[in-house]
This record gives sequence, C-alpha cells and structure tokens, in this order.
Amino acid sequence: MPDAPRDEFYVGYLPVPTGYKRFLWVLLPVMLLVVVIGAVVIASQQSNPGDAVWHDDGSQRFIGGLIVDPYPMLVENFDDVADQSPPDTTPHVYLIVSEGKLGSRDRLAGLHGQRVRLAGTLLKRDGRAMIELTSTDNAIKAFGSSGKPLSSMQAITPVTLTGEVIDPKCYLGAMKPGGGVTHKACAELCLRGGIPPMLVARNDTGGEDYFLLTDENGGPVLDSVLPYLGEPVTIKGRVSAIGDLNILRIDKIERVP
Amino acid sequence: MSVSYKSVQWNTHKRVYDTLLVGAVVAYVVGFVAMTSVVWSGNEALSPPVLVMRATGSCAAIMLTVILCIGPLARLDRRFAPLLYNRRHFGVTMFFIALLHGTAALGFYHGFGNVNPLVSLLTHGGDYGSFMRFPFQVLGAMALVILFFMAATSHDFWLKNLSPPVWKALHMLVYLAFALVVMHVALGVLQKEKSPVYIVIVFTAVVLVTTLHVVAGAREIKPSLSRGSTETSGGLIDAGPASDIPDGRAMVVCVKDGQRVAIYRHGDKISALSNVCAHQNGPLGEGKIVDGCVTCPWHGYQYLPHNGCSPPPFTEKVPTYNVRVVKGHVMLDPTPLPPGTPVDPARITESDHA
Repeated sequence: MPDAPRDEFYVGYLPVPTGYKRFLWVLLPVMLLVVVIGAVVIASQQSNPGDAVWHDDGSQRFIGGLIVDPYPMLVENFDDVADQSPPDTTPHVYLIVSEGKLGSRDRLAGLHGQRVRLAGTLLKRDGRAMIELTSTDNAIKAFGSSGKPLSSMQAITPVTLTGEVIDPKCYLGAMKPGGGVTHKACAELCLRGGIPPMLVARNDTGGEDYFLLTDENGGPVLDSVLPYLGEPVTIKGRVSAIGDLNILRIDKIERVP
Repeated sequence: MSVSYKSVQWNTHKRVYDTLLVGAVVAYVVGFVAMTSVVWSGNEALSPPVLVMRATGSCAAIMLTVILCIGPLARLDRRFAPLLYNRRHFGVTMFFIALLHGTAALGFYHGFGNVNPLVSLLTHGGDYGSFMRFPFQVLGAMALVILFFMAATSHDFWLKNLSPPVWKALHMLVYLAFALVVMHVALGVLQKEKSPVYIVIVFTAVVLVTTLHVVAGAREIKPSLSRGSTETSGGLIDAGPASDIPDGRAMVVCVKDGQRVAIYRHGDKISALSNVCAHQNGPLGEGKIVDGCVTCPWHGYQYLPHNGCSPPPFTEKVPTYNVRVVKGHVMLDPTPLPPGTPVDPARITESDHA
C-alpha cells in the first residue's frame, strides 16, 4: 500500500491533505461496509433460543389441587391424581413461582392438599407449563381440602439421563435463551431464590423432556446441583411422576467429560 | 492547538469524526437487531434485554479492537492518522456502549432476586478455583472498571493534573482491559454458542492487535537503535549525516536509558527535542515542521524547535538538547536540558553538504 506523499502531513485542525483525503474516501466506506457485514454475520450465527412463551400480557386464573412439597405445583383434575384408580387422562401439572427470581413456598405454606384458585401469568415450552403468581393479595384463594391423600405417584424407574440443569422459570420463557453458561449466574440466583431446579434432556425424537429434580429421598435439592448449572451433566437416579410432570430423584450427578 | 490559535476542542474534523462514529455504531446495532429478528422471530425471538446485551456487547468488543489497531496502523501508514486524531472520543463512546451492555447484564442476570445485584455478580455463576468455570461476568466487570477510569480521565484536565507519565500509565491499562474482554468472551459466549464463526472472529481480533503492535514496534525500534550507538570521547553522540534528515522532518535517536531524541532539520538549521510530546506522549520525531513549529502527528500540538516551548498563549514545554554539526554529522549531547531551555540551532554549512 503506497504511503502518503512525503511532503503531506495531517493535522486535525488544518485542511486534510489530498493524499489523505483520497485514502479516507476509500477507507471509510469500506469500514462502514465491514461494520454492517460484521453485524449481520455475528447476529446470524446465534443459536435458537427456543420457542418458550411468557404470556405476560395479563394474569389468568388457574384452578386445581395444590402440592407444596417438594416444590409448589398445581394439579389440574386434582381428584384424578389423588384417586387410587388410573385417571382417564393424565392430569396437567403447573410449577408455581413468584414474580422476580423467587419461589412461592412461603406464600403457599399451609395450603398443601387444598383446592385453590391462583391468579398469575403462564410460562410454557414444549408442553411444560409454569404459573408465575401475581403479587396481589387475591392471587391465592383456597376452597378447602379435597380430603384425599396425594399418594398416587407412578412407579419409580431407575434411569441415567444426560442434559442440562436449568432454572425452569427462565427456560420456560422468562428469558430467552434461558440456559447455557452465559445464563449460569441468573439460574443460580433463581434457584437460590426458591425456584425449583429441573433437568432438560433431549429425547430420541429430537424434542426435550423435563424432569423436576429432588434429592434421593424426594425432598428439595439445591446445593448439590448449583455447581452444574448451564453445563452438560449426567444424572443417575429414579424417575416417578405426578400427573404429566416427571420427577427425578438424584442418586448421582456428574459433568459430561 | 495551533500557532495561528485555532481551537483544538471542537473543529470540523472532530464533528465529522464523531458523526461517522455514531453512524457506524447505530448501523451496527440496527444491523444486529434486524438480522437477529430475521433469524429468530415469533415464539423463537430473543428476549429484548438479551438482544440489547448481545448487540452492545459485541459492538463494544469490536470498537475496542479497532481502537487498539488505530495506533499501530497510524505508525505503519500515516494515512491512518485521521483515525487517531479523535481516538479519545472513540474510546469514550466505546465505554458508554460497554456500560450499556454491563448495565443490562447486571440488571437482568443479577437483578430481580433476593441478593444485591453487585453481590450476585461477585458470588454467583462460576467457580473462582476453576479456569474454565471462572465467573466470566466478573472479567467483563473488571474491564468495564478500567474503561471507566480511562473515559473519566480522558480529558486534558486530567492529563495535566495527573501528569503525562501517570496518565499514560493509566491508559496503558487498555491492554489489560482488552485481555479481560477476550477472556470474558472466551469463557462466556464461546462456551455457549456452537458456531465456529465466533471463535474465528475472536482469534482474528487477538492476532490482528498483537501483530500490528509487534510490527509497528519493530519498525520504531529498528532505526532508532541503529542510530545513537556511536558515542565519542566527549560524550557526544554521532547521530549520522545531517543530509539524511529531510527538510522539515526529523530523525529519531535513541540515547541512554532508552530515551529518544527527535533531531529536526529546518532549512539549514538543526534542533533537537525530546521525542515525547507533552500532551499524550506522541512521537514528535514522526511529526513535521508546520508554520515554523515542530508539530506532533497525533493531535497537532506544536513546539518551537529552538526552545521546545509551545507558541504563546500555549504553555506546553519539552526538554531540548545541545546539538552541533561537525563535518556534516549531527553530534548530539545526550543530556536533556530542562523543558523549554533555549538552544541555538546548529547550522549546516556548505562544506557539510560536500
């Protein structure tokens, strides 16, 4: 590239020498073109954030039976779950969280087994749904106990699953994308705030299966999964279910090498 | 500044520079958002805060890379000097874009929880004992702190009050900031995204910045080291033939302790000044005599060749050196005189040309 003529010298507060001016007329449009092409290329390479939807355009009402342990969840067709006989259709189960990065256990304490009506917004992805309770006083209305035990969890099956430990609120639509390393800090904050951890695992058909994670005894789990957030992991455990919600009791968790 | 007292603060070039700069930033962000909306839309659209984070984060990282390339490019090819002239506005703009990125990340990744966002930033999302799982957001925050201090002290007020050496040392931290940004991206985006394009872009940026600095540094060191190596018994340095210096230009000589001296020729007169501009340590020896003044190639600061003083009303001063011409060779006394000390120029006689 030929240099500027020897006698030419650029000083910012003086007229631009001819050689410099000619150079800038080529350089600046090229730089602008590179900027636009760079933006397009970088943007086009982003991976799919998923088709989660957060229906945050207004609160809805949800009616069903309430389970508080190990994590708060609402079961539609509550009687079918509590009944010892197999239901005609699999009851749909919603996880329940509060606004922000907070769980809902404190707000729902003492209501386990009650029939309730909840006001909140719906988050949904791949058929897995979550209710974000509104912060209003009338968000929770209890109608009394169903009078039936919640003992009809399906048979426990040993499994080994590979996937990613997620905070389901973000993954189901509060933030897109809501997984991976870049989301790790947010996920940790969500889980520490009481949002239950889930494992999302890719199935044989290319879709994703969701498993609510508990400790080996079926109780809430937190500290043992935090180091693995946002990374591929393999979990050995036992799967059961409440309605259409899979629950995975963790016997062993380790990173995928 | 100039000998004819034109303003240094705002001028046509700076306005054009800033207009193009803002235009390029807007073009990048709009291009990024538009392309993202084309690729992922409807239920698969990114959350707006994430989109803001990505557009501004990638924009700031690219701007920092370009800023670091401008310096060596201007040394290798003088026609890049106009990009250097208003680089501080480039840097401050880049800081604000990075601040927007950092604020969005802090607010949405670390906000809305039961922990103070700043505490969450330092305590969530990584393992300080692991290289691969090191909390990459902390690295970005550290870079942002450095960029803040650079932007906050970019005005000449701070340059004068901190003193040029301290100011220069502070602003050399930009290289640490660049390293932190590279690691921030490598441990964050590069582990999240699967496309090899991102790896290629980051690798190219690192190689580009490193290579340009090495090549420009080698070019600067080589000629100055080759001169100034011959010291006479009188303590003078033979800087070489005076005829080697083009009229209105300088040769740069390296003297003791690595200091460089710019030896200027103005007609048949020879004067020697420190090579370091009192403004931002620019290389005076790569400048030119304009309107009778040695003029720095970076921002046009000017000094009278015979005393190293900026023309009134300006007050900058640089050290001067005693110099003689003996048998056509420039003989330099390597001991610097106090800034602004008048020194009679040496004269090149007819016999020196012979």
